[in-house]
Amino acid sequence: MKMFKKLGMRFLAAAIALVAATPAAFADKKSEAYVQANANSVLQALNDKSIDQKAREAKFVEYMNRFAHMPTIARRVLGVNGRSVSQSDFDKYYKTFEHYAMEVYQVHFDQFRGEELRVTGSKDEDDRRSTVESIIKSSQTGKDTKVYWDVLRSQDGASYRVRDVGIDLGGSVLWLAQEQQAQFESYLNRNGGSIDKLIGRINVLLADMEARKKDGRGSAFKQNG
Amino acid sequence: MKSRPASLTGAASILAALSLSGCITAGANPEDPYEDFNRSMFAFNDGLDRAVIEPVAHGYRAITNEPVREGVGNFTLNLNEPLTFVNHVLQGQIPDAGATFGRFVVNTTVGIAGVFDPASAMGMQRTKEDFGQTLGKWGVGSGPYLVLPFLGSTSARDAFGLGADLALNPLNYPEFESDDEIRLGIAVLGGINAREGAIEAIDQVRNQIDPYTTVRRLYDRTRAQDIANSPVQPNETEKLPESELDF
Repeated sequence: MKMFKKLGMRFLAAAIALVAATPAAFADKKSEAYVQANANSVLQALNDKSIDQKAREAKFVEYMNRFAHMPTIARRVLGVNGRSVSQSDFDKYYKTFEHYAMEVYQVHFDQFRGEELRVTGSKDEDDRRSTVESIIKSSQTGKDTKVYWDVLRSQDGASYRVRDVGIDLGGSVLWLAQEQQAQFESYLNRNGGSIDKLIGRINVLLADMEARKKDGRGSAFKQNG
Repeated sequence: MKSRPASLTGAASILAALSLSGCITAGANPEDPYEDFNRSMFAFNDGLDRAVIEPVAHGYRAITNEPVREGVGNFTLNLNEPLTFVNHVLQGQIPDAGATFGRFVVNTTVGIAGVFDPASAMGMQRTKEDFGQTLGKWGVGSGPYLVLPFLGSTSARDAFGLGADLALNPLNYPEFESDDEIRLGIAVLGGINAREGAIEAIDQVRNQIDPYTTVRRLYDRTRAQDIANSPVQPNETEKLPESELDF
């Protein structure tokens, strides 16, 4: 009886050890390395003083397009409407969306300008998807901020793309694309699924951002430090 | 004892009256069944804010400095400590209730009526609990999301909790000359101070594609976090569509 108990306990201990070890064993270190390298490239692009503002923005857009796949994000944030939208409507919308998304992302990343991002770990959601956790100091609040990266791996395992970025706001994580999707879907649902109305709304916000830049009010997206 | 202007039934009565008058009817969105009503109230509150409250908050910012605003914030938050204490007790969080009691005593005396916050420096961190959170801890669901005129975002549970908080706060009971006017004045000052602190955040919300949806999601998430007393990290866990994985 004692022997069975001993064996049972050993089995239990081995099972617990296996379960505990599973996430680390499957964790995709390449996803972590991908985030570490590319996120810092994006942040460096924002801080590159050797080029003017326009060139900096162009560099940021180039890196972001490499880092994430903007057409996929643009379609995803349309929610169920994204499946039925015609190619011509999508193309028209995409141009406006890309401009808007880059402006919004740029301001969100701008709070980390000049800081070095440090990857602290990752968790595999499934065999193609990982959540990479990182820490970076916010130049606005002076505090370390957790930033999460929803990363997808390609079928051949050779390339990666970022699906969403989550910024920790005092314990609650704001996933940027996910929030955009909720808003875009809601807006479309209330406007008969009209892509033209959505484009109109995005253009209003872009015009406001432009006006703020010109009159020096700064961005409305800046977090209150 | 005098009857209070808003009692246990205050917010719940508003809800009941609006329902009976036909202002609230359930709609198609299961996440937000009273969306049409809520959006109307959201627009009303936003208009009121732009016309009156926001200009007052900007004026308040112009005539005060950061230490003054911090002092006002400390003072008004300190008056909420007894309510937090009661709700900690109701939730069975006795060590937290003790810490809140300690904070109140220290800040009210050493901190000169709560204007300063020496308790935090002594390691007694501020917590905030209300009866809506207590109901949540007891397993009561939030019920539908609601936007009430003047009061803003809430839920059926939290609206009831708001009324209960007025009844549960021990500081609402002492009677003295002009007590109602003084309480109202403190509430207005606290509201302006809080609005001043949210100028940038509200500006940010107004620059979203759909500000109403942003506020609703933020409210739901914040309340879930307040009740759980731990971070909420929502992210989709459902299977991704093939179109996203096709690369």
